[in-house]
Amino acid sequence: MSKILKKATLLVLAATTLLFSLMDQAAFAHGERATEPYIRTRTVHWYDVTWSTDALNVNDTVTVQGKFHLLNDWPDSVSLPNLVFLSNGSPGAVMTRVESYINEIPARQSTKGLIIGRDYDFKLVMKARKVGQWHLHPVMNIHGAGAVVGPGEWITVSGNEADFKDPLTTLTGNKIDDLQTFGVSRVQMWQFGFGLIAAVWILWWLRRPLIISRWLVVQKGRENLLITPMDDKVAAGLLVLLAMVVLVGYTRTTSEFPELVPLQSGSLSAPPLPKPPHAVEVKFKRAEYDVPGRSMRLSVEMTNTSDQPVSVGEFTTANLRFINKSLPAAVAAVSSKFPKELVPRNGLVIDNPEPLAPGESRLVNLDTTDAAWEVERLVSFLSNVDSRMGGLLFFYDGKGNRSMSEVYGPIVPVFKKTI
Amino acid sequence: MHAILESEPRAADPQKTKKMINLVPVAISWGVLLAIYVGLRLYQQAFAFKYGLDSTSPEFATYWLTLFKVEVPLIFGVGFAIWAYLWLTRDKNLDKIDAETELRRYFSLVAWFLLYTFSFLWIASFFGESDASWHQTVIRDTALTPSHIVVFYACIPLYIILGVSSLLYATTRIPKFSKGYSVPLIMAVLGPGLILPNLGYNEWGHAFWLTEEIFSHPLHWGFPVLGWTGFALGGVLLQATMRMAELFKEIDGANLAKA
Amino acid sequence: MTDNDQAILAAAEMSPRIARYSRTFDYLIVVIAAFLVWSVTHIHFLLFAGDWDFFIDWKDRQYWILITPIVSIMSAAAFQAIFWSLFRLPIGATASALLFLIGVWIVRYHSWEGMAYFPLSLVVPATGLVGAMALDCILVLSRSWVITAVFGGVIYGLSFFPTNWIYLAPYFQPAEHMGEMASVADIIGYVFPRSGTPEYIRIIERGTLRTFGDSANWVSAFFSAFVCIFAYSVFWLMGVAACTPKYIPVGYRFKELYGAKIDAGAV
Repeated sequence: MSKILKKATLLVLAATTLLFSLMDQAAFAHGERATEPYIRTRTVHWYDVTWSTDALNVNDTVTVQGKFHLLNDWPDSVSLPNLVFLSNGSPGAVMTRVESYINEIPARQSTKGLIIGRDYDFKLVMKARKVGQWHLHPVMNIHGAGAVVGPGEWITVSGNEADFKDPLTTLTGNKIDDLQTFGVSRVQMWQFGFGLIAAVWILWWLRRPLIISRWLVVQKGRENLLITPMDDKVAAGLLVLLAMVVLVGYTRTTSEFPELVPLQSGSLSAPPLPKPPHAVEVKFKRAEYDVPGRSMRLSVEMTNTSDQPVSVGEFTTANLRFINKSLPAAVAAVSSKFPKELVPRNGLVIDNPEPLAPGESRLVNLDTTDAAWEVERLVSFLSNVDSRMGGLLFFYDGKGNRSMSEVYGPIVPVFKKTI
Repeated sequence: MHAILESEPRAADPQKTKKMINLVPVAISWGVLLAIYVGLRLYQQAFAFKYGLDSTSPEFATYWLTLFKVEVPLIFGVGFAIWAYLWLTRDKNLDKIDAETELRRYFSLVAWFLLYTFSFLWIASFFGESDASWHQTVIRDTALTPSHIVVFYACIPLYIILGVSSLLYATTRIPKFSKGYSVPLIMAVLGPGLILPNLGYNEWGHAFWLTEEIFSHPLHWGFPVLGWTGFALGGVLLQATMRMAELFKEIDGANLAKA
Repeated sequence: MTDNDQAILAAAEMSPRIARYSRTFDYLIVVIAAFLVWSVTHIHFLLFAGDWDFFIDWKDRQYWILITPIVSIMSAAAFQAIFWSLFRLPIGATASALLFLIGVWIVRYHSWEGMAYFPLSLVVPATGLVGAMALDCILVLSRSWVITAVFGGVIYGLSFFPTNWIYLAPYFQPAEHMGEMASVADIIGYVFPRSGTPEYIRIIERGTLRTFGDSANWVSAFFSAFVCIFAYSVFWLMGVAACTPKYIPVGYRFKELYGAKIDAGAV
């Protein structure tokens, strides 16, 4: 039997060593694809997101900013954005948050009353803390629904972690050297002190004959042997000691810090941005996901309500940007620094590339074929109880002006092309 | 293996005062358990954030699902072997054992509890709160997170194995526990054991109700309520104390008679 | 060995040899009890009140001061009941609070800081250790769990806030951040991001209707003291109930499976 145990132990050790040796330094995704596709395609749509840099030293900051649109076709099972918190996705506190805003309103607290169908801008300033390569996403936490993760960019942090400091000066003028360590030694010193007294108390009792002997004595009704007059004195003394320590400690603390405030709570309102230009009415006709072809095809009726001819430039959903490569304005709208994996290579293919004339109505078929649908785990349309999709269409006129329209509707999985 | 399962020391010279318990097997078992726990923690340090955040990635399958698929059958396999051994080698002559042997077996039962409570500590404290640091940090996308694969599917099976082994040892070696089911012992073994099936409720709740993680949420209360059954070890201790006090008297009486 | 120890062994009618066995048993049980008290206290607290203890920006005036003592007195009471009712050892509450505190610090270092990069300033724990020692002392002095429930429970609930305030108060200094006033604790919580813990998830005071002369902390402490009496009582009784040395007869089927050999004469 012991041989088997030995062998098993060796096997586990060997397997562990093998796994460790397989370890490489490549970077991997970290849960941004965790959310169900119908949430990612029909709630918060991030756009115009930029990162001020993709490489920085410890203590340097990076600013992530952009806009988000809340889709009208908000799913039933997702709580409305009545209370949200702008955050960031990262594996632990590898970067610290310096500032964050929704429509220039500070977002240290949660924000209330976001309106579906409207747009907001956001800004996140993050400071590098831990050395490594970190994927930095904006995240919108919706109360009751969880996180909707925005596009992520890999940020390389170099330098010396030991240099990281986060100093702060309080309103009473006290200077805090570093928030990472602030107050910790004071907590530890006091708790260690209390712990020491507690340990002495426990040992005071444990040094005597304990379990069976004491039980037998209890059975014989000789409790006077178990709790002696000396124990009474020690207990009374300890009570007095504790009372004194707490009383003196508390009084001194309140005089040391006369100005203290409670935790700050309460949510802030952020009015939406003015409605963006809206040049095209989009009427959803049909959407299908071609399973073997990894292609999402969309059939919509577009009506140009502006006075300029417009062309479809981009379809964006779940942080993926399908760009109409035949339209220079749309191509130019994608910064060279934007994460490549979020801009599918095949882009957006339109069956009729002619611009839509003012007042014209036309049925247009849009094709977005890319492995990204699977890579991003967006194909579980098939396993959802609410198989609908949504996204934003961006249009450009001849002068390069951009307008935006929502598109959403049911999606049908197909195994051969029908539109 | 035998030494670990039967931690009573071999009787040497009956005239001498014999050691009641041999702690070497306990120390070895603690060492093995410690190696497992520390190994798992180091594994988390190396791969939890690196490959454990996206449950659909191939790296997740390699580094985490593999661990899950290996650990569950391995731990329960070893466990079943220990249980089978304890049952098959049961003492069918419990009526005839002398006081000193019986007393020694109580000490052996205590040795089992040294392992059982040690293993419970790692889930209830060390990896238990560690799971909070995982949830509060990342976005949950599977029930089989790197944290859960360790805390639920390695640590819980380990203490179930040791808890049931303690129960089986008592039932198959100690007359009192063989003649009657000890209510507190069953509670103290079954209650924490039920934490494993309680995961069904937990994961169901997280799939349909709660996307956000509040540790104190009522959805999680099944864990501590089942943890309360640990109080019943007080009852087991009382049962042991009552019987051991009798055995002490018997042994002392026999010694006096001899003298 | 003190005179008192010898008197105890004499009253227990233990010969030196048996006393040695008994002492060995004591040591082993101390280790088992430590593991058990540590485990049960931690898992109990973790899932009833853990969040308030994890983070400095959850330590509010309304719920932290109310809930932490109520939850922590439960396990303290149960273990006190077990050690006192069986052995007249008044250490259950102190052991529960002390071992829990040790366990908590281990995890704060190894996991919160060691794996998830959160600084200790974000995750400093509070402790009910002073109240727990007071519970044990009052039990010694009164020899009565009812008196301990009433007076000890009140002291436990009331002492939690001032005790922890001695070292946590500095975190509640005011500071300015993005043009708003916030406590240092709020800022620490904001600066070190937790992706799975949005701000709104905090179950904290969202505003006081009547501050009673800015003594909101003490109002919560008093309410906590009141509930602690009942929490203590219920868990004391649960601890006592857990010590029932009951056996249920195994029944015919089990005996058959077991196959015990019984002498013909004995039947």
